[in-house]
Amino acid sequence: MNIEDKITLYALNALDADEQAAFELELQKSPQLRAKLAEERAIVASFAELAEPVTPSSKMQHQLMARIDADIVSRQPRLQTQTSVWANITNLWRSIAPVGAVFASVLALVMGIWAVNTQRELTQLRNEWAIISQPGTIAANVPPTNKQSSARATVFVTPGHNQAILSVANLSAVDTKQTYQAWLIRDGKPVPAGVFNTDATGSTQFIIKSDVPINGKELVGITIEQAGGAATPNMDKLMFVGPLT
Amino acid sequence: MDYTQFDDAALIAQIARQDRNAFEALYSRHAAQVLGVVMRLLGERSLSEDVAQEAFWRVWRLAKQFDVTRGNARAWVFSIAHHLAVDTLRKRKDGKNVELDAEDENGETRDLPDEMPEVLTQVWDKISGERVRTAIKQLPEAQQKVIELAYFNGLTHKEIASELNEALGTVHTRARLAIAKMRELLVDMGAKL
Repeated sequence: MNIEDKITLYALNALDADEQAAFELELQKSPQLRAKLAEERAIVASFAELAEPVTPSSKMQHQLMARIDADIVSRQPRLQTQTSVWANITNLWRSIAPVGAVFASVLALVMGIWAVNTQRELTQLRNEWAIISQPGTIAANVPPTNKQSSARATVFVTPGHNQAILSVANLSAVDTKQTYQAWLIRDGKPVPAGVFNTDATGSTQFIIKSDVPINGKELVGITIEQAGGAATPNMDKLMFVGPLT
Repeated sequence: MDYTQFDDAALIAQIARQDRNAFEALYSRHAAQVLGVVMRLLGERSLSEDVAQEAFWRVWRLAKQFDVTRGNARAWVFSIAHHLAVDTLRKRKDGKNVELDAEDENGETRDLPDEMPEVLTQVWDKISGERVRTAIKQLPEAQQKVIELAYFNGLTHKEIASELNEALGTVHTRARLAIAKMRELLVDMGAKL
């Protein structure tokens, strides 16, 4: 098989897996080869016009846009948080620099805490990313029980997986003796899905963990409980409840 | 902003800046054709929608690597969808789990945008489906068959040779000549090559 054959067959996705991998190594080394391949791919792409268009379901668009929204959300607040942390450190440095070496150790401590926090955030981000990047991830808006409330809760879930992301916004602050608690409700039976608190704006993202795969037929609820959480939900303080799909 | 006036490359430049509306515009423009290609390969509606969705997700994720001055946006989108569909078809044929792997590094390497000679950029955005259909009908039947088996049946060159009971070299030649002839025909129809 000569190089022209390989380019054409690669553009058509008609090489075997082994041949394809070997050709990709050649491609990496040769800009000329990549340019030639690009020409072939453009022509091959025109074959797509031979297929009859099929209108996608609204579900497909909904799922896709939910992934996009989750991606946007997962990036923006964290960038702001890190910028804000950095600004704080800069301000702190300006204020303590004249005092000298004693305060340098304070700064080192702050930097250490910041590094730990950043590492935690990165780990959390990776975990969240692993969930929302799954094909078939859906976003369910869980309605507040008080219809006048501006609070919002969205669950990103891939049916068949044991984890989901709960994203909330505009929740009221609770005092230190209380906490928000998430519930998965299966066949009418509530199962604790973790406790969480919000930031100053009433927002947070929280990973719901389930002992069994989430099948999408569950309900999700959020209540306010005593700090540490409860084994059964306080229905007087039910803030959100709704289906996952 | 009225994104209907944007060409594909401009939309992808916006998508690289995390512009949700630009992404929706690109999706609206191509989703039906992308799903059409994927369904022609896979048949099954639900699986095809998963694959098409994954293709658009990769466009979103890799858009920042797309060079608007050197890439053919439309070819890139369809190339991602086609190879995902072919990979899925082959996994299914081999009895493997066809669940799409979002972290497939090899897949991502293949999905990176091409760098094209400038003269080719944007050419195919201007070619209608009717012109492509007219052009392909002018190919010799044997070449059409090879293209059909490769592009829409997802067969490898060896499988095509076996299916047609022809030598591998014959299949290679037909594939190469078909692409060259398509290029020539499309130029004759007004593509600026």
